[in-house]
Amino acid sequence: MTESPPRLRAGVECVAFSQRGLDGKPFRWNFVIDYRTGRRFAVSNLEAEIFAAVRRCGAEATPDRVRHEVRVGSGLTASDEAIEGLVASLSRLCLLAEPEESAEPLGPRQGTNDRETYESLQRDALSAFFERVVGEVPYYRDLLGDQEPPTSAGDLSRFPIMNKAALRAALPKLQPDWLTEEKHSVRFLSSSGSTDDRTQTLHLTDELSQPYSMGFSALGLNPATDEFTIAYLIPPICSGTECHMDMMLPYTRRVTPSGRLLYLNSFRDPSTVSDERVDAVLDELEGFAPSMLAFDAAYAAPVARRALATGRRLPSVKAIITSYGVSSSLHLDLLKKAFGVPVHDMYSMTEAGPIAGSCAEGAYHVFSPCLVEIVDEEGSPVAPGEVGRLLVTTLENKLTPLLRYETGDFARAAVDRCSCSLEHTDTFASLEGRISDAITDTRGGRVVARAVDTAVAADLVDGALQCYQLVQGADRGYRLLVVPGEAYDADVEAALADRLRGLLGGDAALAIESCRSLPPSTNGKYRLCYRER
Amino acid sequence: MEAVRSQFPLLKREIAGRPLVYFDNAATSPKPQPVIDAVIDYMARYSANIHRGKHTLSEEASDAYENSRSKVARFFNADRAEIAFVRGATEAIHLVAGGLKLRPDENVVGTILEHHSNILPWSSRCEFRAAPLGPDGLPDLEQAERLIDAKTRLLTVTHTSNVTGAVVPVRAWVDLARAHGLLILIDAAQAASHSDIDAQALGADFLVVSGHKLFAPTGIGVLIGRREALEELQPTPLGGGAVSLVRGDFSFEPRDLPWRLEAGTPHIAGAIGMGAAVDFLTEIGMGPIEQRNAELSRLLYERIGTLEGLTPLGSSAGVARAPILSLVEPTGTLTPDYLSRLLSDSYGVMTRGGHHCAHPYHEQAGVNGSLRLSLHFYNTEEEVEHTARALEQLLAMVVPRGP
Repeated sequence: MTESPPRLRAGVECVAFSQRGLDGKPFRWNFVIDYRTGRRFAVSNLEAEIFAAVRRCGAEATPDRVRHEVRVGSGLTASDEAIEGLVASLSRLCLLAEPEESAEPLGPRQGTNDRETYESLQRDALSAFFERVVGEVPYYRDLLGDQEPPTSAGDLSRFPIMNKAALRAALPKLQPDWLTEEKHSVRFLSSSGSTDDRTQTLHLTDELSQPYSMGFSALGLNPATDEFTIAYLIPPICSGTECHMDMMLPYTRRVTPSGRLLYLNSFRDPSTVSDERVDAVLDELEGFAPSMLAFDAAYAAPVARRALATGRRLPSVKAIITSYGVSSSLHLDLLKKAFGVPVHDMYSMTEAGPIAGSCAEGAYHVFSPCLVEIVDEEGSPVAPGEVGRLLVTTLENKLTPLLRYETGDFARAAVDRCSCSLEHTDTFASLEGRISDAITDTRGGRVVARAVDTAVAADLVDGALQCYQLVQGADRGYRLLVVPGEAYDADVEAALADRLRGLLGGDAALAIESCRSLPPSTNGKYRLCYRER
Repeated sequence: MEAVRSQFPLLKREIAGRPLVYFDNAATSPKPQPVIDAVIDYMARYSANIHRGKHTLSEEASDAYENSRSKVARFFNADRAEIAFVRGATEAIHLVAGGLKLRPDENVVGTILEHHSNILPWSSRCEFRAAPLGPDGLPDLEQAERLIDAKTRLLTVTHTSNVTGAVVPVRAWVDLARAHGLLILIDAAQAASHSDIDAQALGADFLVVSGHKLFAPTGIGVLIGRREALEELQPTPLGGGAVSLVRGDFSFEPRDLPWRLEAGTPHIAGAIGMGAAVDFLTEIGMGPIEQRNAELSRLLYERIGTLEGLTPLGSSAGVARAPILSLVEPTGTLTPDYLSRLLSDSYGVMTRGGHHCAHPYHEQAGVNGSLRLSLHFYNTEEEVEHTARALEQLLAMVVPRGP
């Protein structure tokens, strides 16, 4: 034991997971998790008890006191060697607050999960997934029954791709045999896609919240702590069909019983929302004082803009999580400026759960229950740095397991490994937009939403645009619809025309039209570009 | 049956890898080719305004429009002058409610089974009193009579429920209105394509019909009324086409019935389409359609209404009903919305999940919406079986049947 009692660094927790073994008997996994870097370390039951005792004792964590706490708490006997061994390990791993919390940079290169181990675990998980789905899921039994299991993630390319239409048609056969034989608590979820894209999937109720917690954890955020409170501002509708939800619900119906999650009243059209409605959101944010924000950036932009314009105090949050598709850097920059915190993007789908999250370096790290492939039209992996269709395989979803599922999104494959603490994980460089939203340039080349946003919004004069949309007409002409900001002028308009001709082709027939509003599409999401049909 | 089905282009469409099953007829019916052709013909060959022009196209359009009125009149055994084209049943009821100049201290007696469109036109102008349902799921006539008082202006009831399909014995309601010297309006929006309705024999003052539930285009319907009752109505709105003269002091002379009730340029294509729709139904015959629908209704209730894990709304033996069935899954895991989406996306069955514009009915039933399957004569036994199996499969996922 060190001379002074050990003090654990903030954001370090020991978490136990219960599971049933093949013999049906329960057993426990214990992990020390460093939520600031996303690292996890497996520890024994005794080490977990020592950890908990050290935490409980605080400044009084002498060996005798820790030993006593362990015995009272668990009946186990902790030797001096065991206590000192764990404390020494925690110190080596920079999980102690002293001698100096900031001595070791928390971000870069702290991962203890080396790539080799990661890939080995991934192979095991993939093998178990294959065995499970072929064994118990009729759809995969019929499709893959006579095929050899994949030997690695890279080996997935020999299996068929499942698109949304196939998922819709095969939904009942995608459920395991045991579902109809035993009683389970299940829930259907419906994706937010428009009619062509939407899907329904079935999930075990217990599994629904867990992946999201893992998503936050992987981003270094600890949803298990009491301090973790989160406010959501997201589209108020999820499809173009009738919605029975009133958009202006009372506070009591929008906050969870635990008081840790609040859905802010959203808006049908953020580009025309009144100051009064935005002020009401700001009032609630101030009162609720969340530690985290989860936003659709387009919907949160009016809030950030109003706060900046009025000097309104915003809650001190640790980070903002965005989701709901490719956000414009116009809105992301606004959020960073107003809240002064990093913005992480969480890429998730109703069908699959959280798939990846962006780190401080901007790379998307794939969460461990998923495998991601970025493929070309033939289903083969694209070269590093290239854009392709994003496929996901869900390794742990018991119901509606997905193998090589076509997400409908474009992504760019990573060129290099990320330098952050999650360097061992699979990554991709960026999300590039919905496949259905892609337009073409004057030579017929594909132009994705991310490219449009880079052309329109990157390094644009502050306050020049509130939002925009690039529409390719059926006649192949282009219209850039803009809701101008206070700094919009003829120079900005000329610059936008130049930038877009650079992207689309010098001969592009382009019109720039100022509008007072740009309503979202019927599923509530904003499209940065699309092609009229 | 194949010959009839082949006339619906919609049924050729595939969803979820199979020809779609259209079980949402209570919301709107699919359009047969003759209706589509009639609308296209008007749009393509003689698209012109009616009544006011003297050129060839206008006369052709006027003839076709008025010819449709004659067809609709024959279909419902009414006089031409008693048929006013409107946007649909909702507008027809508003036309009556507005035309009666109801006062806030007066009341209209209806039932809890009504569609919102047969509640709100009244409740927004006067008191609306709703008779409850009896044990058979039909509106209680005796209770309705108790609601009548000196301030009651009108009695109204749906002919066929758009939620349960129950056919109300409306003749008794007409008799009740007569006994109390009241006007009566029958909402036949759901009934018109299921039942052979003889307006004269029924003797109601007002009968309202939506064309789009009668295989006609959307945006067209008719108000059918006894001439004396229609003449009592103050025409609202007024405008071109509804008056024969506007004087210098802006006083006016209304046109004769039914045109005084058709202000502005009407939905000419829709009216022509409605004429084609009643021709289509007449050719098949409302008698055979009624008989076929009774068979489908029986099958629907026996095969799907009895599925373990689903509770039908308003089901009661001995009640005549159109082939309309609304269901709830009591555990709430399969909400009506999810059921409807799953049936659509995974099985190609088009149904409706929600309240079907009948919140008060669902509230009194203690349920938050239902899944509605609404069939029509062209639907098949195989489609019912396919849907039953789909529901069984979905139910098995959420309500296991094991030991």
